Amino acid sequence: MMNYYPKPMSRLIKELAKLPGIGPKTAQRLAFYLFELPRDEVVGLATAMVEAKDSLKFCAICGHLTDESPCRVCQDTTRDHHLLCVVEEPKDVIALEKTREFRGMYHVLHGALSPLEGIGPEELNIKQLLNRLQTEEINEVILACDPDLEGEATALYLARIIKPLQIKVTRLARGLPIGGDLEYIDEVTLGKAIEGRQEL
Amino acid sequence: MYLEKIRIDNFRNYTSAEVELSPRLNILWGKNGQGKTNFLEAVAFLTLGRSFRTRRDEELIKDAAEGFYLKGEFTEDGEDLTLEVGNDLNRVLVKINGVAYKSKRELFGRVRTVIFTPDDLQIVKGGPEKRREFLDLYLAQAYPAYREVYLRFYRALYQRNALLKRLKEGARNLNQLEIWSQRIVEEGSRVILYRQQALAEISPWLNQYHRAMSNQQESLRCIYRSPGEAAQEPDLKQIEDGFCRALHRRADEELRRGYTLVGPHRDEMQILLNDRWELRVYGSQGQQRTAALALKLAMVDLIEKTQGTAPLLLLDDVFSEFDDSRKQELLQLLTVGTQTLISTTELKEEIAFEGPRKTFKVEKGVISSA
Ligand SMILES: [Zn+2]
Repeated sequence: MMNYYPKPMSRLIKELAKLPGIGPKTAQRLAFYLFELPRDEVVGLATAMVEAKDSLKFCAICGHLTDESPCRVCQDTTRDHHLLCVVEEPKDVIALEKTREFRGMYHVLHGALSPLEGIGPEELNIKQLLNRLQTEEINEVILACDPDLEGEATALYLARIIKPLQIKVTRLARGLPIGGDLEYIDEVTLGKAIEGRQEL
Repeated sequence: MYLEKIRIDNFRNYTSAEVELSPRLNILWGKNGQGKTNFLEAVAFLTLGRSFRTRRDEELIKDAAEGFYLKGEFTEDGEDLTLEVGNDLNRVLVKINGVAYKSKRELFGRVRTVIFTPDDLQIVKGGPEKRREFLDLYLAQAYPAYREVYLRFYRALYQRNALLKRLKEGARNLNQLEIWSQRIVEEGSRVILYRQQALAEISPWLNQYHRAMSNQQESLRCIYRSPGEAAQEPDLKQIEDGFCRALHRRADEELRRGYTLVGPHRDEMQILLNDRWELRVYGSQGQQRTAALALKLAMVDLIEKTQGTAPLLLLDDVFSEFDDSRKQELLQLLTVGTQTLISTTELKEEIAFEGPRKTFKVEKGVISSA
């Protein structure tokens, strides 16, 4: 199919098809869509992509996605710096921020334990977590991993290594749908889960 | 729930068929190789989301056709359910009451179905995995939560096996192994508990069916064999403790071999004749076949009890090995409130059955009222 297109078109289709959830047919359709857009809109899209790529990084302290490090949450002195919430992904921070229930700090693991995918404790942002627990004055760690199998295993693992540090460890209240993704849980449910967290 | 009407397009040797069924007994009559089993397979595919003969859906497409399509219209107490499934150039079409779904898995459990085929002899005669497969398929229909628990257990098991393999290859992280052991114990013990409870529950029916089909000569009993057993009454805490102890006992061996050696994926369901003889080893083919059928019929009762409505019962070539008196017994047993589809090569007018029945003739992929 590719060979029938002029080179720039087939290249665009090939690049688009690399995106997650985009098959060859959709890539083709998107390529034609982009071709028909006014030039300045295409430039706007391309610039947004490059600028996002160039300016975004992970916060050196918490691992959240940010354009300045430390991130705004880590810099915010009005927040409770003794309370730390551990999540799997930056999008979970966004979901919890939307609830406006949580005023503590975050730590992003960038994944969950999954031997099938070769993800062990070394692959996660755990060393930095332990570092923070030993240097910052943290009274309580809330484990807010996804309520699926891998998330629960990760929480279990973290609880075991944090316990000896004499820090209170809590989990989000049960009642979150099992096998769910934290970011898809509605704000009210998530807010309640933070309120009703249980000690491990 | 019963199947009122089914449409079969380009499926196996059917080009296009539309059949209205009796809510009770349906006899599919024809010579071998005409499409009787294919018809039952179509009904099963609609309700289970997969074939009982193959995992490759492409095999189901009629020669020279591009895809198959099945539609079943079910009803119960004025409540209607329409299931549609198709496979077109490897694209899956699934619709439930006209609403499209992405996966064939969605079909499972909407209408419960119990199937008996000549291959089911293997449930009794074959390896332990055949008996586990049997339990899993019917428990998932009898207890909807079982399927969730079972899938979670297998996910945890695959994770643990992946870790054991890495440890065998030299990785060092035993701390994480404990976490995954805890996960398989938690999920796996629930699987075991469900299986033990189900066997306890079907026990009287199983025995009753087997006795009826063996001229009251023999009794039949199933025992669940698991390293966590011991308790008379199924009890989750005891199962978990036993599971944990067994894991500890075989910890070194697991690290050496690189996969999980203890759990419901290795358990056995023992079938005993007259409380004594292991049927797998000592039973005649006739006894084994009767026992397999008794197990299936007992599952009909279990599903009816837990779901409050009888499942469809599909019996493929069930008469062939029974003599006339056993056939009568069998038909007597089937006179419960179950919609039944029976395929047979012999149409004996003396198939005695009180109640609504329809007979169909199946010939070269064409089905017609006989
Ligand atoms: Zn930060």
